[in-house]
Amino acid sequence: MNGIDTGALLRYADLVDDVPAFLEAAARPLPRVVWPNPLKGDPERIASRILQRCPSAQPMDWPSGAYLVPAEENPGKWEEFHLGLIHSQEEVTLYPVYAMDPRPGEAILDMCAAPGNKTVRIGLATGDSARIVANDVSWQRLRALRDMNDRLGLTCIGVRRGNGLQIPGEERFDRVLLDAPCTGEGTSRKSQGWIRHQKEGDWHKMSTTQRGLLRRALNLTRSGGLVVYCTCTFAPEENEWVLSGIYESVARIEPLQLPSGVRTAPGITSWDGKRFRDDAVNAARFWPHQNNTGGFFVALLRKL
Amino acid sequence: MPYCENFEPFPGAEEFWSYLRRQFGMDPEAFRGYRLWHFPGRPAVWLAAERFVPEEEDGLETMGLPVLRRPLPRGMPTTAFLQRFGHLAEKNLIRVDQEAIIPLMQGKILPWDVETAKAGPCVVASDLAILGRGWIKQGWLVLDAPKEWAKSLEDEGQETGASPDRSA
Repeated sequence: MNGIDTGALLRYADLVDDVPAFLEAAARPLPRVVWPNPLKGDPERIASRILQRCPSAQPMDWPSGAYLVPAEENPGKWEEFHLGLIHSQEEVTLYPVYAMDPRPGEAILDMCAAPGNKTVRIGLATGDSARIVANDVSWQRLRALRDMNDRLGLTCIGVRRGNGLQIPGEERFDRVLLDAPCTGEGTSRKSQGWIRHQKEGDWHKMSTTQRGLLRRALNLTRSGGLVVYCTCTFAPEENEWVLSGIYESVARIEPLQLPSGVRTAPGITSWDGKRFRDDAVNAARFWPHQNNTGGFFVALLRKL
Repeated sequence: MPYCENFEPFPGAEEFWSYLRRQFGMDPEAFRGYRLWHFPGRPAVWLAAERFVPEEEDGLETMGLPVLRRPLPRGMPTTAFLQRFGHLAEKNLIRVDQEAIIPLMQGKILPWDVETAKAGPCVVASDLAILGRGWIKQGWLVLDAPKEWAKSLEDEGQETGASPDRSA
């Protein structure tokens, strides 16, 4: 039977350091990051506008000029947003791109890109000077990505529509981001603390899709290149188990670089009688109470 | 060069750079790091970073930033393009006060008795940002504002004492 409440999160109680704090945080409204767009003017000047708009905003160490604004603010209605001076997104979604560390001139694939928050961060990280292919299966969600790109003024992103499993070619990209479709258990803070209960078969079905996408992502990555695998869910079936579907001779899981002060828990190597890859410990679990964010999972795979 | 099956370098690039110089006084040298692309048989033209050379297998539907929705001479630079590069304009550049930003973005028209703009579109700018593509028509300044801005900025507009809207 499907139901929705944070009680579903108790499934992960033995993975969390502080269960009451975890459950309390998972139900709290989620603050948002607002960052200045360096393509549209002096970031410091734009940052001062953010503070004018929201005096209670908290400055962040990274990204430069970014602020954390309370959940009750709606930066998407500010004129600075419409003019492309700023963008607003959930904090934890910044970290896969930080871990990816994209460089100018690289060929980069964002495999499940819409609505595009991570894609535009990749574009900015390259100085708007790369070949970024943003793929998604949903035409409607790609429209949001195109609107975001046009608003922020990036010239290095191309959009394609299709199933990520069917992106043609081999070893064509230096870096690939796979923000995989998932059961979304880490997004409870965006829905007043409610999440959908999953059945055992739901995780299995989702992880089968995720394994296929990760294999395809590695096929599309050049030898020595990087794949960032991430989900917004806690289920080991959708995270460490998916990583364990990759032969260790194909890719190794490397430690993540994250901004200083960001707290994470390591990936796990066993759960519920299942054994995962030893190097899954290098992946990062983001629990909501650790950094006051949504829940997330990020792993960095180096193709051998 | 491994061009995408569909996107190709835009053959009218020189004409477009000349148009930008003529209409807005933009120096084509400022676009040295970019190239124009189009999808043969479709009217839109796209601006992409020079390093963005699509591969055939990319199968792209859009590429970079849209600059023209239809060809010159009837087409005109998009709001997205002018918001990013309008700061390069030295001609047909209209500067508005802070108080004019919200009404213009809400699709309202403002009295404009200074005939600074010649025929064709102008770049509307404020101290805050480039607002986009505008027009001066019979003593009024109009901004080509996307319709969704008006609803989103509704609350702010009520506080600004804006000029009559276009339907007035």
